This record gives sequence, structure tokens and C-alpha cells, in this order.
Amino acid sequence: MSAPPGRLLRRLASLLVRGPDAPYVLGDLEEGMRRDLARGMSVRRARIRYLVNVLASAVSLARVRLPVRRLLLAGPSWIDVKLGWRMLRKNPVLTGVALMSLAIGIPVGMAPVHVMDAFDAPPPVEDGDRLMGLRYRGGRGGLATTSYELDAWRNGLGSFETLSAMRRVEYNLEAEGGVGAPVAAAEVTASAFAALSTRPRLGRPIQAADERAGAPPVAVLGYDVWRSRFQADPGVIGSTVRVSGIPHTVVGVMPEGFRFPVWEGLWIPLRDELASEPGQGVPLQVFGSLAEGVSAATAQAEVTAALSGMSDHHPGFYSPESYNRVRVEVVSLSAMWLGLPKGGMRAVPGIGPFSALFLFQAVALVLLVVACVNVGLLIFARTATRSAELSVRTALGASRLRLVAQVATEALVLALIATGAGLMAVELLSDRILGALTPSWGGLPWWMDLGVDPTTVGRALALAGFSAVAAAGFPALRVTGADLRGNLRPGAADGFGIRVGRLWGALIVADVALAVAAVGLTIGIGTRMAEVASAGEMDDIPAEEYLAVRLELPGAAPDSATALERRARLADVQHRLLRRLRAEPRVRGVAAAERLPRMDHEGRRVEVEEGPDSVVEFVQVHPGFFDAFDRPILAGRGFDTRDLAQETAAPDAIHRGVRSSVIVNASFARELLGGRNPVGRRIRYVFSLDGEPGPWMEIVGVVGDLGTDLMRQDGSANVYHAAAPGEIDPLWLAVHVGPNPASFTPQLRDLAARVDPELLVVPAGRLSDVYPEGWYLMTGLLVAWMLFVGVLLALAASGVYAIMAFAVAQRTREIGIRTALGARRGDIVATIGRRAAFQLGLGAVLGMPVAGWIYFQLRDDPAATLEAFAVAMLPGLALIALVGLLACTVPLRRALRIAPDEAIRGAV
Amino acid sequence: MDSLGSFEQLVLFAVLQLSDDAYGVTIRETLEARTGRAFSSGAIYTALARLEERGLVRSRVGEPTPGRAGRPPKYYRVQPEGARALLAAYEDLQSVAGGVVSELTALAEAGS
Repeated sequence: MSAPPGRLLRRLASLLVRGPDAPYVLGDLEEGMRRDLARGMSVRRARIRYLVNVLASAVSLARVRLPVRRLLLAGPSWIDVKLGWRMLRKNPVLTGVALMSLAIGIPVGMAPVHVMDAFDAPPPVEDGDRLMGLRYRGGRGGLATTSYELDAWRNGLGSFETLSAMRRVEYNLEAEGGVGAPVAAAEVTASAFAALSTRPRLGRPIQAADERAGAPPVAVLGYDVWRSRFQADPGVIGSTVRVSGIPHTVVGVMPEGFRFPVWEGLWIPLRDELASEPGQGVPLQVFGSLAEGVSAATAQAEVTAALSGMSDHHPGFYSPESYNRVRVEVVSLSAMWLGLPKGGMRAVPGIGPFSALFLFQAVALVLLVVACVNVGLLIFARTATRSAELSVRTALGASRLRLVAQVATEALVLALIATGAGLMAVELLSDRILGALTPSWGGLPWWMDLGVDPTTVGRALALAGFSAVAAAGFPALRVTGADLRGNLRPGAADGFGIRVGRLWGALIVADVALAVAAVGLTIGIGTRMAEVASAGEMDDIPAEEYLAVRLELPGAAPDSATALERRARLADVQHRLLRRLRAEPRVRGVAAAERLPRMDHEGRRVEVEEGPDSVVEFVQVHPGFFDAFDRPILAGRGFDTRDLAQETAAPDAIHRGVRSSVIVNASFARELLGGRNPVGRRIRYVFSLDGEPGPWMEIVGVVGDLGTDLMRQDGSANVYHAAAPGEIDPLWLAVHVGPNPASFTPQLRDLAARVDPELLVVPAGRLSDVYPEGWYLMTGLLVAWMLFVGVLLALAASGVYAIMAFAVAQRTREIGIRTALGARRGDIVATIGRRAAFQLGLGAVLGMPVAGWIYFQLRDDPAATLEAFAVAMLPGLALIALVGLLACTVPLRRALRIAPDEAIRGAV
Repeated sequence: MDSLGSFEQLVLFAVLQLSDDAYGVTIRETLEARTGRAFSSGAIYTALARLEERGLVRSRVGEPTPGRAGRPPKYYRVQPEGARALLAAYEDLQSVAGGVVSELTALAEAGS
């Protein structure tokens, strides 16, 4: 990693800008880019401007030394390029197929490195590559850095120029006279703004004086928040806003695109009291700027030594028993935010000794090679039709090198056009891809950019060159190596006597087999998702009439000293809000719980007294939860005040079994008790961690199934625990308000603000639109697989097309003579189509068992029979057959149009 | 005395404005800030090289400053010969434009 403009661009600039003035010009270019970035220009725009200036400077200094130019002069000529272009235009279908193959293959070939680079990129600020995070790694219990570490490292580490800390939080932000709405915020030390060196668009950043206790509270707004909540009013500087109910003076607005660290839109000073012991205080994320000339490895060595010093001072805290093998890592900021391994995305493990990057890149390059093979076949087919032209050129004295250069130039023109198209697609889709990734990652660093930059262009051009050589090399050498002069002899055969080898055929068969297997996989995942989605639809609950809302008190997890105080406040706030909500005329019911139906639920093994054990999903709910969903109690009773009699601390309530009554659902009774009445029976949790089972709890009621987790099949066994206000944080509400529940949000916010201005009300939309986190991942995977299948199908189709085109080119005279001798069109079609049909059929036969295996692996249920598999595969197979047929149509039409006299005249 | 091109005049004025701080980046920024147009670094370097060749400006190499990857800036200063050429060009422009500026403004506004 390197600071903007990046190592590659810098190298390119040094190569191009030459001469006595080069050092000053290069320095100017470097400084110019840094100034552009400091002014808030996006890194991509700044890099493009840098590149343009490099080129302009290189040309203007008139001392440009372009190795490419020399190569071009020595190699293929401009005439070859023009000829290549003309040939491409002459055969539009063939060109289209080849272009499609490469336009897919080249972006796919570079996608893994491109995506991982985007993940691993440093922030686009001055000396961004010197910004590093410090985090604990290893050890049991998830050791967190706090103000103790920040202070110790600030005083003890010389490798860092500055050390900063931040905490990501969510606060209600309220303009004067308005109602607060939650905004993603960060509490940061003033040094963080200095390290990021991004100037605010308006006003000033947070300064050291703002951190001091007793200093007036200040806030810096993000660009998006400034626009949406303050109508981009420049007069906002100096005005007062309420952050979590506390008045703050707005002192600055950051430039567009700045959302440090992930998607935050509000920054306030971090004012933490210094913790005297490690492990005390709230968790912080610590990062800083390496001192000039200090490498990450040097800093790591110093940090490791410092940890051993800290262990000496606090042997109990860092002892091997409590946090064995704990270490501190110096990592990139993106690795810290995203929880990636130390080496970033590139170091994410794959299978065995291979990293995920290596595996993805290998698959991507295999796909590119398949694309190149297909294009090679197409070039082969086309070149074979030009035997006479090449023979004449040879007879006139053209060397073999000349002819190879001509064929290779054609391929290069093709590859360059495909590269341009592929890059345009990447640029157009990059924002959408990032948008699709965001829900599953819970936010990506604000500087992450999947768009095209000069490095991407460089890589794409390199792959285009590789593709041109890979696609054209073999055909060019093979064709020009044939007895070209012999082609001028009367009666010479077409196509230089070259036959389509078994290797090409095998590749096409493998292509089709892969596509069939991939269709199986897609159908397997797709049908499972469809079943799950329909199962989770909660047929008899009007989920679209419920507003799903998360309630939370902001701030970090409290330590034990303030936990009780906070809980008492939470209990009061939740109790009052629920009471007010239920009194609203529009509200028909309010369900309050740890998780709502359709969301991810925690699972645990449960044992029935004198009965079986099984994994169930459990959830804490407030009394009245089932009534809000009109879900009747089938046996026994619902939760009431009796169940809340014992005082308890929420996180331990279930584990310690303090609340000894539970309610189960109908599926629980069916699955674990064979349909017998569970009321009065006892269950307990079995903890695998320490082997000690939990206390017994009595089942007091049975409720109809609600459909807890969208990702699981209908009928999962559920256990419900009673919870009192204040015991669940964050608390989810499903507010039954009838049609268009989103319109109730302002009213709800208003009620919440009156109860406690700090209370966060985060709406998640209609309950019917709530999806578990895994859903996004599954959908993303399915889309990725569909794209992969699409690529395979497209490549298989272009391969079949290439084979057919070649077969027709090779047998032109034969077809002509047979037509002249009275052969029927059907015979000609049969002759030519036999090969394609055989390859398609063989590919399908080989791919089907693999598809079946994948399908049955994914569908472990009785409905997955052989008949069901066959029915599910039919559309996929029909699609492949259709693609094959389309690929054959054009060459077959050409074969049938061959005029007998022309073909025979050529043979004489 | 050789005449100056319009771009060379702009570059000379920018160098004058910047006094002791005139080098590639600052010259470009001054031109862009004062004209509202974007200029390529290449064009500026070409103009500066030409002006130096004609003895209208003189350059000296400065100390490397942070943010330049260790590379020093090259500062430029207008020479008396340069000042005379620029003044002459400016006076030519003023004398030719004399009396028609208001008409020019009116014509330009009418066309917009």
C-alpha cells in the first residue's frame, strides 16, 4: 500500500517524465495531488487529474521515452490495426461473440485483486498509508482497548507520531425546535482530525481544547446530514443542536464523501476519564499515524515489547490463564474496522495453504483462459477462411513474423475494445455492487471505491495483452506455419488441412458440464430460499400493518458500577413509552421483545425432563407479546405479573433460570413431545461450554407458531422467556398500526422524545420488510452464483459457436460440392450440427450427476426426490439447449447459403 | 524585443503575483484561482521553459518540502527583461483596447 497517488502511478510518472527538470516536475505533481485531496477532491478524481498532468508534463518536456512506442514501431504497423478493425467489422456476429467472451473474461479475471485492493486501500488523505490501527488479538473473552491503553501507548510508543481514539455510537440529533432522529456518530479525539488532514467544508474540526472537561460541547456535521437535516444552510455554524438531548454548538461541516470511519455523519469530542487499570472503561478504537520513516513492522516490534511491559505491571490482567496468547497488532484501518486479519483482505484464509484471494483469482483466471480459448477458436475459424489472402501475401514476400503480427494485432484490437466495454460496465456497476455489499457487511469504510482508476486500467490493459497473445498465439503460429504456398496450388484443401483438435472439443464439453452443474447449484439455493421465504411469511399475521422499531439508549455498555442505575432508567423509559404507545388511538397493539418474528434468533440445545433433547430458538418477550400478534394461547396460560415477580439482571435471566416459567410453541410440542401436552413439564438448557446444564424451568403455556427466523424452515421449536421493562436492551417493538405503518414514525419519535430525548428510535420499516442479516448474505451469494452461471453459459455458448463456425469454414468446399450434387438441407444441417449436439449432450450428461449431488446436498428434506430434481433442472437444461441452438444458428445459416458454383470454382 | 503569447503573459503575471513562492504548483493554482479555468501542468512547464530560455525568468532550486516525496521545488523569478516584455504587452493591449472597452462589454452582454 502506498499514499496517493500510489506506487504504480508514481512509477509510471517517473518512467514518463524524464529529463533534467523531472525531479521538480514530479515533486510539483505530487504536491498538486495532495493539495487536491486536502481540498476534498475524491481520490479517484485526484488520481485521474494526476495522471493527466503526468502525461501533459511528459509531452511538454519533450523528453518522453515511451518503450511502448518503440515496440509499436518495431512490431505491428498501423495498417495492421486498420486491417484488424476492418476484419472485425466484416464479421459482426463472430466479433460480437468474441467481444462478449473477452468483455466478460477480462473484468472477471481481474475482479478478485481489484475488489481486495479496494478493501485494503488506505484512506485517501495525506500520508493515508501511515495511518494504522492498534488492536488486541487472541486471548479469551475479547480484550478491548480502552483509555488505559491509549494513554499507555501515547506515552510509551515512539513509532507513532500521533495516537487517536474513537468510539462509534448512535445519537439523536435534533435541530432547534425539531424532533430528534438517530444519526450514526463518532466520538473522536481531536488528534483524529489532525491525522486525517481533511479540511472541513465549513468552520473548523474538533480541536484539543474541545476535549477538556468543562469545555462547551461542540459538534461537527457530515455533509449528508448537513444537507438533509439543515438544508445545506451555511449559517449552521455557530447554531445549537441537541445531541442526545444535550445542546452542542455546530463548529464545522465536513466535505462531501467524508464519513469517517464508516458512514458516520456527526462527530463530537471524546471525553473519557482515564482508566487506571486495563479492561476498565468503555471500549475504544485506537489508531494513529506512524512517524516519518517508521515501517509497520518496526511499530509492531515496539508495540509487542510495550505489551510485555504492560503485562509486568498488571500480571493478573494479562496472565496466560485470563488472556492466553494475547497480542497487540498494528493493522490497517480497513482491517481494524472490518475485523479482517492483519494482512487485510489478501490474508483472509481460503482452503488449506491457499488464501481466499489465491483461490478466487485462480478461478477467475481459469474463466479468462476459457474465454481466450473460445476467442482463439473464433480467430482460428476466421483465419482459416483467409487462406488465399495469406498465401498471396507470403508469395509476395511477407515474412511469417509479419503474418503472425497481423493476426495478433486483430486479437489485440478485439481485446482492447472488450476491455473498454468491460471497464465501462465495472464503472457503471461499482456503486451498485458496493450498495449490495453494504447490508451484509454492516457498512464499509467511506473511502472504499470499486470504480475504475488508473491502476485498474493498467491491469485491464495487461490482461488484454495477455488475452490477445493467449487467444491469437496458437492460431497465428499454426496457420502461418502451414504450407501457405501450397494453398495456391489448384485443388488445395481449405483451412490449411487443420482439424479441430480433441482438446478444443473437450474444453467445450467441460464448459457445458460446468454450466449444467452450476445451474443445479443455483436451483438448489434458489428453491431453498423461495421455500424459506414463503415459510416465513406468517400467513395469518398482517405483517405489513406492523411498524418494526428498535429502541435503545445510546452510549457504551456500562460497567458494573453504573449498570443498575442505567437499568433502572431504561426500565422507567421503556415502561412509560409502552404505556403511552398503547394509549394512542391508532395503535392496536405493541409487541416488545429481544427479537421480532422473521429476525435471526439465538439457538441452544434444550433437554426435556425424562424426554429427548433438541436445538431450539429462544427469545425474551414482554407480557402481551402474543396478544399483539393475535396469537392465542393453545394450552396453559400467557405471561403475566407472576412471571416477572423475581428481580433479575437481564443477560443472566435465561442462563441462571431465575425466571422459572417458559412458554413454548406448537412446533416444540410436536417435535419434542410427539404432540403431547407440554404444560407442567420441565425443560433445561444444555451448555456445551462448561458441560453444566442450566436449572429446570416449567412450561406454563403453549402458543401457536409465529415464525421466528426467516432463514429456517417453518415449524422450528421455540421457547419464550418473560422479561420486564429495562431487561432488554436494545428492545424491538412491533407496533400494530394498520395500513402504511411507516407514517406512524414521526408520532412515535415525538412520543419517545417526550419520554426521554436521549432514547433512540430506529425504524426498520414494516415487519413484512424485515429480513435477518443472513438473508442479505444469501441473496448476495445467489446473485453472485447467477452471474457466475451466466458467465459459464455465455462462455459455453461462444465455445459451441466457435466450433461450429470453424467446422463450417473448414468444410465450405465439401458443403458446396455436396449441395451441387443434390444433398438436402437437412443432411447438411445434420452433418454440421452433429458435432455441436454431441458436445452439448456429453457436457449435459457429465454435468448432471454433479448438479444432482449439489442439489441433494442443499435440499436435505423429503420433498427433494429425483423427480423433483428433474423437474427443477428442466428449465436450466432447456436454457442451455437454447443457448447451444442459438450458437449453432448463424454458422448453420452460413453453411446453407454457400453457393455450389462458388465453392466448386474455388476447388478447381 | 520578442512578443509574448497570451498564455506566457498569464504565467509571467502569476510569477509576479507569487513573488518568492512561484513554482509549478503555486503558479497553476494562482492561474486557476484568478481565471476560473483549469490549466495543464504540461502547458505551464512548457511556457516556463520557453521564458527561461529567452532570459525572461530565472529559476533556482529550493529545499525539499514535505508532501513532495523528497523532491525540491524549482522557484521562478521575473527578470528585468521579462518585466519589460510583459509591460510592453500590457501597454499594447491597453492602447489597442482604449475607448472600446465599454462597447466590447455591451456587445458581449448582448450576445449572452
